[in-house]
Amino acid sequence: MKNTIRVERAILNISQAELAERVQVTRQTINAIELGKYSPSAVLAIKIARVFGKKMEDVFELEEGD
Amino acid sequence: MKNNLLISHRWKTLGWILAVPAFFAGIYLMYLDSPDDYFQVTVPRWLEGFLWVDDGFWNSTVKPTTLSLLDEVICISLLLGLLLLAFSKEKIEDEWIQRVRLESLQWAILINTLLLIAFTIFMHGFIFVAVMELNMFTPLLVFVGRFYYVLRIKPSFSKQ
Repeated sequence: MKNTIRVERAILNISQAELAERVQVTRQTINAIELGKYSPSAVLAIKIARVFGKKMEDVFELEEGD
Repeated sequence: MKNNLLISHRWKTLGWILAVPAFFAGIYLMYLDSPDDYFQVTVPRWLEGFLWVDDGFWNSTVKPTTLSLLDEVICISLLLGLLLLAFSKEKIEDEWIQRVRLESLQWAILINTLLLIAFTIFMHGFIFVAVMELNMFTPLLVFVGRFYYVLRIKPSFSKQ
């Protein structure tokens, strides 16, 4: 699953740690999601999208093979 | 993430306090000439009937009057310490950490089983029993080692 978290963070000007705090996960989790090493649960994906004021599908996108 | 088997984060400190000294004491114990000379205690009479001391092929005729508790103390400290480290929550226990837990458990079972197979093929006689003693600790050691490597050590190599 691809995502635009890094771009969205840049727009809001928040660090991985700040985003992590807002959605109550560790910074490593945000890092793993950004790098595409981990696909978050639906709950976490919705929470992340909400921080950016967007819908889940605007931040996360299915890749071929998903 | 709910996980009823996990205990409070506070137990982690006790886990480190028990496991780290016990790990090094265990290594030291392997190099002692006669470890049974240390930490000798007299066995209470009522306990004698519960002890099984193998003095041959599954014979248990010898009832010990004294026992060395050094290896027992080290073994239990290490197992208990590793167990606390493995089962205590992280400060923030999120879904990615749960996945790291699962992967670490899989690694631990895999490596332990491969070691068991290798020991069975290559080790025979008394040496097999000796390595099996070490093998008691491999699942927890691999689990704890891999879990904390991914969580604490690996991120320092790949800072954002």
